[in-house]
Formats: sequence, C-alpha cells, structure tokens
Amino acid sequence: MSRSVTHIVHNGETLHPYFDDVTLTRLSAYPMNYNMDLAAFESTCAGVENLAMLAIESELSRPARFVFASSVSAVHSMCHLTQVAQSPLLTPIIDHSSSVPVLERPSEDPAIAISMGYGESKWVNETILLRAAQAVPELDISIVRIGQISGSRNGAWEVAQWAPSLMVSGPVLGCLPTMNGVRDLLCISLQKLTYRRLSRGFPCRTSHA
Amino acid sequence: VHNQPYVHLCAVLQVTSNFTSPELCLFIRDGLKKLESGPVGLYVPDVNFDAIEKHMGKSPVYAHLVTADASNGDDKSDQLSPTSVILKVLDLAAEDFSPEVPLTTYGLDSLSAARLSFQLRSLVQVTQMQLLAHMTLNDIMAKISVAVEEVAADQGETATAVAVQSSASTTKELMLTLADRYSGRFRRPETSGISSPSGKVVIVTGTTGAVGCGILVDLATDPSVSRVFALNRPSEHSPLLKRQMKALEQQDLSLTEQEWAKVILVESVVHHAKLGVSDDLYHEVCRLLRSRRLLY
Repeated sequence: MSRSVTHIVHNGETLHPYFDDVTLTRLSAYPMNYNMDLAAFESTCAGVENLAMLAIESELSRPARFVFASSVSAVHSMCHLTQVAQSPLLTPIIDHSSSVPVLERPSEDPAIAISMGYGESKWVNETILLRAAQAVPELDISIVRIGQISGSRNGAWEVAQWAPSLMVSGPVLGCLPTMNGVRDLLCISLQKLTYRRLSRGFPCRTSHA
Repeated sequence: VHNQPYVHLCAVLQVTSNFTSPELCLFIRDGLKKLESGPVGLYVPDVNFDAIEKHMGKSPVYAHLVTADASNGDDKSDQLSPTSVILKVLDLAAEDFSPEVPLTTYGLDSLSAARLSFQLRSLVQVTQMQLLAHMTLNDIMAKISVAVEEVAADQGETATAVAVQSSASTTKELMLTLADRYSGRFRRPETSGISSPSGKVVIVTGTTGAVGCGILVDLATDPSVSRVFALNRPSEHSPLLKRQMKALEQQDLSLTEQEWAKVILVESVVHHAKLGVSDDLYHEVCRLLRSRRLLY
C-alpha cells in the first residue's frame, strides 16, 4: 500500500486523473508483522499522509471520506492506565484481564499503544489522520479499531493468524495453552457489514469493530 | 588433585566456544575420559579448524591448526552483499527474508551472530552483541552508510556515536516524532484565482448570435457568476474576439472591463473530440465540472 502510493505521489503531479474524484478512501492494507519495531513502519505513515493528502486535495467540492482500519493494539496498554473516566462513549469492548473499558475515542497519549511496533504505528497513523481532520475540518475521517476477524464465507481460516497457529501447534506440543477469559472473535461477514456501515458515514470518528 | 589439567581444559573450551552445546558436552566428556588415564597437557578437540577460520576469521589461538590452503581461498566472500551474507549464514530463502525484521527473529543465535560479524567485517564493523540486539538488515545498511560517510569525512567514531544516540530515543518520542513528521502538510485547500472560482461557472455556446449575445451579457453582469466559457465555432475570416465585439455592438450591448474579465472566449467545435479545444482547457473544464460548480 504505502510504498506504491508514495511512489505515485513522489513522481510529482503525475497522478492519474482517476485520483481527482475519489470520494472514499478505505485504508485496509498494512504490513502484518508483529516483530518489526516502530521505525520499520515509517513507510506506512508516509502512505497514510499521502492518501490523506489525496482526500484533502480531491477536486470534488468536499474532501473524500477516509476510513482507516486501525487495530485494537493501538490501545493495547489502555488497561495499564488508570485515568479512564466514565463516559457515555463507553463501548462493550472489555479487556477481560482487568475489566477496564476502552473508549471509542482518539487517544493523545502515545503510552496507550506502547507494546509492539505494530500497535504503536497504528497509534501514530491514527494521530496523523486526526491532525489532518483538525487542519481540514471538512475531511471526514473514521478510525476503526479492529480486533481479530475470524474465518471466511466458506469457513476457512488464514493459517498464519494467531488462533489457527495455536491450534496447529497443539498436536506438535501435545498441549494447548491455558487462557483466562473468553476471546471475542468477529466473523468476517459481520465485520464487513460493520465496516461498510462505518464507511457510509456512521457519525463517529473512532469505532471498535 | 588434577588442578593443572583442568586449567588447560578450560582454556581450550574458551577458545572453542563457537560450538553448539551438544558438541561442547562431547568435548568435555572426551577431556574427562582422557583425565582418567592421567594428566592432560592440552586438549585439542578434533574439529575442522579450516572451517572455523573460514567462518570466524584468523586467530593466533588456532592459526597453527589451520592448513595453509584453507587460509588463502577465503577472500571471495568479501565481494558479497550484506543481504546475501545474511541469507547464507541464516540459511534463508530471499523471499522469506524482510530487511525490517530483527535477525534474531530468523533464529540468529550467538554462534551464527559471531559468524555473521566476521563475514560482514569487510563491509562493516558490527559486533556479535550488536547483531543479537534485535538488529535488522536495515540497521546494518544504515551502519554501512554511516561507516562510508565516516571514511569520507575522516572523523573516526563521532558519526557512529551520533547514530547510536539518535536511535536511543524512547519509543514514545519516536511515535510523536513520526506523527509530527507526517502531519505537517495538511492544509485546507485554497480556493482562489481563476482556476478555482467560488461562484458559478457557466459554459455557453453561440454567443456571437443575437440571443447568445444577450445571454453572455446577462451572465457576465450576474454577480453570482464568476466565470463564463463562451464556446463559438472558429472562423477563417476573423478572430473570435473581433466577431464577438462586433456582435455586441450590433445588439447595442457592452460590458465593463471587470465583466469582460469573467469571460473566456473559446474557439470550439462541440462535435469534435474534446470539443475541439486544447487539452489544458478541456481538463480545466472537466475539473470544474467535477467540482459541481459548473452550469451548462
């Protein structure tokens, strides 16, 4: 995602005219690598900036809507922070280990994301988009923090995801890990529906899916 | 009782610490068995020291155990790129390797790190410990370019020190730095000048006729209209501006200079591709059409 767009924009004003009348940008592509450190995700920030610029500079009378597929890992360390105030924005997403609700709103404190490079970069990109929306109030952004999306229409799983990897390791190790609580998995069709609704202009800037 | 032999044994084990633990255990067992039959002067494990020198570099400790042939044919690998060296040492396929992922993720351990450190020595000075500290190929490449600059500037270790210092900033600072770096360009798009008029933009055809003349004047004097594209067929006899002026004169109509500034006279054949106008103008009109500010 990020590299190709950077390339197009960096090649000066040679953007295909097609880009002039974009009405909705949905950013879902992202390097799924939990081992890379934050610095390695810098290209995604450049990508988000470039795509946001495209949305802002749209020739249409209003900037394009922008939907960013963020991650629950962008608020990974929320449960370690204590200053979570009670608010009507409380969401049903609960961290089972500490039962601290995570708010559906942007976070200004980077500490909330510090855990792994992936989640940290999601926080940075959320912040970049929020600043874009501050600078250009007409820019309509939606940040969707996605957790684990499971399965597919035919029931098949991506084997590289954590849940299948866990199962695959079972026969080899002869055991499965013990976990507390219940893992919430969102099935892909439901997630798609939610995501699409959010993209259509659900009046909310930061949502959990 | 056997103090002396143990010391010797330890000395040798230190030198040969580039072995795997099973190998090391074998050597220890071997040495202890030898001790059963009396004091051991010096225990030298039975290994291929040619191979050790090839991977670890020359050392006075085992130089005498290396055959002469092996120490010569070693310089070929110096021409390799860091990537190919890493892929070789870690026994990885190129498609499985990402320059942004720490080498330790690919199973780099103290042994392979020592090997890698040696094999990279012609390109960059990087220690075994540095490699093990979640270094990535990108880090190594950065180090190489710093080293190259260093040589050019002949400034010894200062550049490296700066690089290390900057990488030591905390994650939190880096997160904010990245956010700052990539959010500085956002501005409200400006709407100014001829290219983006705020009022209505109108295309009107045939303004040299009697009715067209009247429409042109109406539009040009309408304050809500900011631009009028007046499309007319080209004529071989006289330029469009001259024809337009004549037509206005005949209708006893006139426009002020300010009103004229809104009007762009365009020689156009509407049934030709792109209205028979220049590409630039055509795109400008298309742009205004998309912005829904254009009335036809």
